[in-house]
Amino acid sequence: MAEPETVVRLLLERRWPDAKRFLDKAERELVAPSSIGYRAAFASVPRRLGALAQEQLGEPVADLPALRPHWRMTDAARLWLLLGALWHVPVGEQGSWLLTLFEGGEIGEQVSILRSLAQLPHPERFVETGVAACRHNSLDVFEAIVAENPYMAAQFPELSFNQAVMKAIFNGVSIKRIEGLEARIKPELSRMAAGYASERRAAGRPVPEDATYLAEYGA
Amino acid sequence: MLFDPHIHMTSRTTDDYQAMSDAGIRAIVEPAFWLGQPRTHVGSFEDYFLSLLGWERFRASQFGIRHLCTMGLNPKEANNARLADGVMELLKLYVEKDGVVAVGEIGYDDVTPHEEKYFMAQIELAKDAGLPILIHTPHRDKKRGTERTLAVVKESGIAPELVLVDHNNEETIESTLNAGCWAGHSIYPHTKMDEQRMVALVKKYGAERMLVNSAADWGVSDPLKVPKTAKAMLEAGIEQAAIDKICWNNPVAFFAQSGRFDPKEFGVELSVDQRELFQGNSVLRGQTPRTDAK
Repeated sequence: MAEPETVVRLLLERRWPDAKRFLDKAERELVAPSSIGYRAAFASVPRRLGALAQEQLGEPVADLPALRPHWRMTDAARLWLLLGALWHVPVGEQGSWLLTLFEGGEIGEQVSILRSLAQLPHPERFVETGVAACRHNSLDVFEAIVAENPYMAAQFPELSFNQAVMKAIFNGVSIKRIEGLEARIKPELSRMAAGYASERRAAGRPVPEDATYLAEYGA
Repeated sequence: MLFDPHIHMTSRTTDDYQAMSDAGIRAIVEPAFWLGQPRTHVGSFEDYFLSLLGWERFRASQFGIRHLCTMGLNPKEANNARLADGVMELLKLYVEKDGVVAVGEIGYDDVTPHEEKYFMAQIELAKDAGLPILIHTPHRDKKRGTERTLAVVKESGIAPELVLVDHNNEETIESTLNAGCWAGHSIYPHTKMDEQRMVALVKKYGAERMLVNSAADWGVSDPLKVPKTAKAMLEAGIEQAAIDKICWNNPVAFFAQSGRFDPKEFGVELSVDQRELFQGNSVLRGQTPRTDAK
């Protein structure tokens, strides 16, 4: 199996005429992943991509199992930057390094980071970033971790997972979009959903279909 | 006179202040909360605390509204291990400031161990400072979260009359009142409570230890929900005395337990002089200043 960085680089070079120029220049920043230079390169990706920035990949990519067809070219380029930088971050600091990058990012950067999580080596190191994203008010950021992303079901502890699922219902994000949901529906989540349904009924408000589904799951 | 005991004015405009003043609001409490996105430095909390004590109190005064605040580390950001201890250090100073009438908003959001740790630590902080506490109850898993909140309060030994549990609804109100705490209700355009449901709660549970607020902030919310709810209660046949109790006397009595203001003086209308400046800044932008006869 080819190295993920190589696969991403080839993908970028195939679809982006200026890829080589950007990647060669950015490569020099990878050795200092907390520097302004690296962070500026990370932020600048959509501008460098120009018209291609929002273009979706449109198909799965062999050897990159966590990548999804709705990813934009921007996300792929940032995945390359993350993979390259992680070589230069001591293992014990990788979680906090990524969290700092996430907190200092604008919404687009945050979305790219969250989509990338499951494709990073030792993805369990980045749970704090994933959980922090669930406290976000931006729906784009919340959806990036919750929807069409294998990371949450694979890595979140039960409490954070349950809270994120309930927040999805609150925010009108269909739980059908949560990958790997069924395997993680435990009695506690069903109880929370049943509690929410009861609260809605007490308030004279309709109960969302997703809440009923979870409440009755396995019953 | 009306009192909104929970409103985040840093996110609101002078138009809101004017409308609140016109609708009879004469006092507000602004709880320290989160700003819609997480802060990345302890220093950002300090500047926020200072703005609650300084500029915001001044802005309110320019519309005849008394502004008090609460200080605290909110549950969401209690999860940020890198900032939480630094903020706790700051709070030891800021709870001593004039105009601070409670520790809050504290409590649970996701009901994590971190949240619990700082919730309990801040109850101790309030006990040391002799302040009441203002508790935020969670949106998700609300009933269970509220019950756990009340259990922590009980275990802490803080007197229940020093505890205001906020954002109650039909399913939490009985536990809150039975625990001997004060019960806050946030009236929102779409979520939490609405005016008619509040009317029903008052008819069922009476006015004792009941409060209403707008909890207006940077989201879709309405800073006039206290006057609107007072009107709905009157139209539904609730006695004026009960409405006055819920919308003025109760919040005054609760926060006066801080010992930081005189409830009698509190009922006197503030005289407004919009010619005043705060550190050289005015709320006016070329308008004729309002100046009340002294």
